[in-house]
Amino acid sequence: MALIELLEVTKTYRKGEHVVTPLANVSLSVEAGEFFVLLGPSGSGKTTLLNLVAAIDRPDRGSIRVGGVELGTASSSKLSDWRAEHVGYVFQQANLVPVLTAYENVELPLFLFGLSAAERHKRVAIALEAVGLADRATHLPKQLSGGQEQRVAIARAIVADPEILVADEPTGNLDHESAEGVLDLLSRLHRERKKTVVMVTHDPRAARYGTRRMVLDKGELKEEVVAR
Amino acid sequence: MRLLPLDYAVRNLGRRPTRTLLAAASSALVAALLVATAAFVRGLDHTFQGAARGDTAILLSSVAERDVVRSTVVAGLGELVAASVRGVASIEGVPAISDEIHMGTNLALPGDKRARPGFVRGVTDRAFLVHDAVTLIEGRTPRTGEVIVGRLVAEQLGVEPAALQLGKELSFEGATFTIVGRFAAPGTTIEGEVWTPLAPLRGLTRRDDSSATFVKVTEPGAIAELELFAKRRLDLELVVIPTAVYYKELADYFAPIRNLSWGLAGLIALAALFGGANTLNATVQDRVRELATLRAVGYGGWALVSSLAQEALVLASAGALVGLLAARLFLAGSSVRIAMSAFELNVDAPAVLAGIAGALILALFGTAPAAWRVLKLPVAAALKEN
Repeated sequence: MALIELLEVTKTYRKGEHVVTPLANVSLSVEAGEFFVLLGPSGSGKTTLLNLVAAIDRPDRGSIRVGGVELGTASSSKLSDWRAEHVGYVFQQANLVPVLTAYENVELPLFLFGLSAAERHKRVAIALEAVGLADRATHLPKQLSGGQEQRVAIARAIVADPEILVADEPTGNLDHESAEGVLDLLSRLHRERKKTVVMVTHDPRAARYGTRRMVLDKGELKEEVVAR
Repeated sequence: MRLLPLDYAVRNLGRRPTRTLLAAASSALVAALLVATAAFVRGLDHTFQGAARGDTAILLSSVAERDVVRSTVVAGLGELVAASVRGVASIEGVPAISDEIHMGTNLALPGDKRARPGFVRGVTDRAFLVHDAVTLIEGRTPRTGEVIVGRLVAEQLGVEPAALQLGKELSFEGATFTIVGRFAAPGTTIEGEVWTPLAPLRGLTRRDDSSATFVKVTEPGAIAELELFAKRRLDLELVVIPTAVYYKELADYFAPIRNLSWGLAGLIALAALFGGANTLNATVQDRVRELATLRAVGYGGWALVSSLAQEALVLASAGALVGLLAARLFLAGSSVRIAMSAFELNVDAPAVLAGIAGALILALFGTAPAAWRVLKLPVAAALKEN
């Protein structure tokens, strides 16, 4: 059974006086352990689809099941709990809390699990080690480069050990070298830690890291390209 | 519900120092203002309650409309009461009955170019038997040409306390008096009065009567005996008012001032509430993407609201502390002039509690609009906000 299953999902929202339908009857399944890349031009609905998979938005119609759990009809608090446990989200911008150090930013999701300070410390150390920033633990976000900030955000996404990582244009704001570093890191997490990665990008170079690619255009998944 | 660490709320306060300082100053102002208002109102209430006693009554002229200054009763009324009424208290054989003249007049210190409205009471030594809150704290009781002054007379006249030291002079009704004593009567309006012997004052003011007679009875029920006496002696045209009733009526007279004080404090607190709410709302606007990120990480809306409330409460507590210290520094021991008397501001535990509670409650209410906004935050859209 697929880890992520979208069945005839439709999502509309209002933009001023217009009703926009970024997703219309979209169906998709992603197997556990895949590095799934969703390509598409700006405004094609990629982020909308990603937000549905990450349970931070709900569909107007259709069903979304992730790990056998129906997300489309779950309550808001249930979805919060579910997100904390099952999904790590990497945004286009790192979105770190500026008044907290790298360590404290990574630690934030762990407060949701009622862990002891020692256990939190252990997990944060492992996550920072995994992204190669153990030596930057006490730095504030403003003391880090863009690439380092994004790696801290990835550490925050994996610290609670979720089975799914969703990444929305994670290299969109980075220079080429930093972008390669972040993509290598995601790829390594996928390979070594068996994470299911769902990444949205419009950059074909970034898309090469995926084990499966699809293109979303005008609200529909039009094309599927099996890579590597 | 799992909460964000308190550290997050505390450190957020440093993000916009000017805004934080303004919000803290607003809390300090509210706390200080509430303490001042509570101290004023409690001081005022305490003053009238302090003078009111269940075992003391005032005999006034029935045509004086319960105004002791306008009242005139016969000069020997005290002796008549002592001879006719059972149940009058006596101390070492002396009946606790005090004939008194109460008058508002213009007082003057040496070199004064303007008159200073003040309150003078003509008394005999028996006044100390009836008004047992009065204690001579310095000097001695007055004789002809002498006065003793209450602890708050300097404040009431608007002069330095040194101007009313023993040996200094005070003039009224065209005569000059030497100050020979100073008295305290905590929690009563008496502390704003000047006392002088009754008989010379009668001569000076060309009166052969008294304003009122204060009578202390052995137990509150004995006041009925006084009322019976007033009814029997219709020729004296008397009315008997227990001091508890008299001072309650006087306190009621000042109710509009009390209400105005609370109203003013309420208006300023309301302005602070809107200011605080606006600040917190702006905070949410500034951090909308960060808050959406925390939601995406798994924190519920109420966890974020709780963190915002912590921020507001920490800030309000710090501000309130400053406000309370300022209030303590500037208000404790201060007194307020009112009519021809004065009373001390009562900066006691309930007044301080009013300041703290007011600031914290306002802070909590101030989080409401921001909380609503956070709870209704469209996470997906907010993540895209710049």
